[in-house]
Amino acid sequence: MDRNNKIAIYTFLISLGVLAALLWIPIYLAGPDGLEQVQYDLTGNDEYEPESNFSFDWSPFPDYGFIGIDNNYAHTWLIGLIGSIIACFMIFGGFKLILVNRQSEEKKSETVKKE
Amino acid sequence: MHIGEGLLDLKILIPIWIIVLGYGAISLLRIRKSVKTDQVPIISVITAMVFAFQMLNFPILAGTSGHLIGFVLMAIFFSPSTAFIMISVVLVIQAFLFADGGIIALGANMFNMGIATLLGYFIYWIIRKKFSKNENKDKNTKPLLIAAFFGAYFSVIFASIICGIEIGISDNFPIGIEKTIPAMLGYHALIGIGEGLITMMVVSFFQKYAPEYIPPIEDLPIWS
Repeated sequence: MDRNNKIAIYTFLISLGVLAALLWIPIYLAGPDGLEQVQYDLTGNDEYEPESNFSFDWSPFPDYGFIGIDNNYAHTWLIGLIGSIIACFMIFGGFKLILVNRQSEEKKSETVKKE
Repeated sequence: MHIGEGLLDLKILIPIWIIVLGYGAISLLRIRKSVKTDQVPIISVITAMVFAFQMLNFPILAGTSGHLIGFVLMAIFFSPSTAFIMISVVLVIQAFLFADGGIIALGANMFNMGIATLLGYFIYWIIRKKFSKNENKDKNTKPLLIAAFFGAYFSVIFASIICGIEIGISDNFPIGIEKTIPAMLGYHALIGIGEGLITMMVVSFFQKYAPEYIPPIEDLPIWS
């Protein structure tokens, strides 16, 4: 197997390892993050959320939740897996597209030069 | 550090969006020239890895947690412009699919985690350039790991300062920057340690098993 692909597969396995850790880390220990905690500390309101004229309600997995799965560990793991795969394919597709365009432009300029 | 909808007002968001879109366009043009086709699989899996690490919250103080940003980690392997595109894709997925961070506030999140963090990468660059002169000859990886730790640590500090300024000057948040900046810095000074350690761990793994992915000092990009 090509070394580059081997490294890519190992790296993806590390990601899966990280995701697997989500199944064992007690999620309840991980409270609000730094910014949320600052909002709570400064406003004194645990539920502080400013009003907004815009709200996006079409997220398929709002707040990393998974419809039908109540187990915190399981749905966080599943969402992590889905998100990682989507991120991987979006970057792969996007970069390939950019590079294919570049290659076709390079070929065009080469043909022009030859002519 | 994902800013939600409504926290920032338009007088802050509009200029930030203009900067982010301009910077994004320049970054795309740069990666068109600098990225090689055989780098695409590893760029993709490292983005996936950063997404996975961002889900892994670590407790810092009673009741508070932190998670990786990952910008410096990605910039160490590729370049700051490539890392900006990678982190932007992660943030877009988080905002649209998981409602983590606002859609209108996405520009601010991209700015904080992909542009403000650039200063952390510069710290990595300076430390490595200054102290890694004999890295190749002596096979000494310590300066690289120290540079990775401090670069990642300060990227969180800079991002938190910028975030503190944004929410402090926003009309939608009742508290001013005199309180938001110290409050943000207090928590993120601790979160940065986690960022530094994770970055150092991943860089150390690659340094051992796939050192060709870490650019040597002579090819170390300052931006590109």
